[in-house]
Amino acid sequence: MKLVNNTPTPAFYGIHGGGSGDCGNIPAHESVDLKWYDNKDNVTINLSAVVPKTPPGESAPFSITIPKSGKGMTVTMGLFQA
Amino acid sequence: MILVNETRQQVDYWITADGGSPNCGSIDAEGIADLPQYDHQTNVYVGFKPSLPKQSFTITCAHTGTGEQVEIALIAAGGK
Repeated sequence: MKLVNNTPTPAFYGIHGGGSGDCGNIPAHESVDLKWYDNKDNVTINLSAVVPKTPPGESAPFSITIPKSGKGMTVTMGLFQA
Repeated sequence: MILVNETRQQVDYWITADGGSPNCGSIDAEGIADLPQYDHQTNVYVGFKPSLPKQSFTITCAHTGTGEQVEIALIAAGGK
């Protein structure tokens, strides 16, 4: 099971399934390979943004800054399984 | 500027640009927010996070295969 962070923001992940659980950070535009979670049932992944100085108990946003936006530009926030 | 939510859960968004007024709102799962006032703007900041009470983006895979991949993405594309 590979977790891919294709955002400009570092992400924190939690994963559990198959009787085990793990957590960690994924830098922006990087991935983490968790082979132990291959071929398991009911694997749940939670992903949240890691932003310094976020107050405890609050979640931080994934964010992007566009230097110059065009007409009809789209900004997509997605969570995909493949 | 169109904000697209492909996360399977509701998200809150914030958007600002140089010289403009900030905007915020929620987008339902698989929904969009059409904000043409942010076309042709400079330094457009867009932030997304899960709508409360959710604190994270979540997905459950009924069965994972070898080399299965879960990707979280935030991508800007298109526009002229």
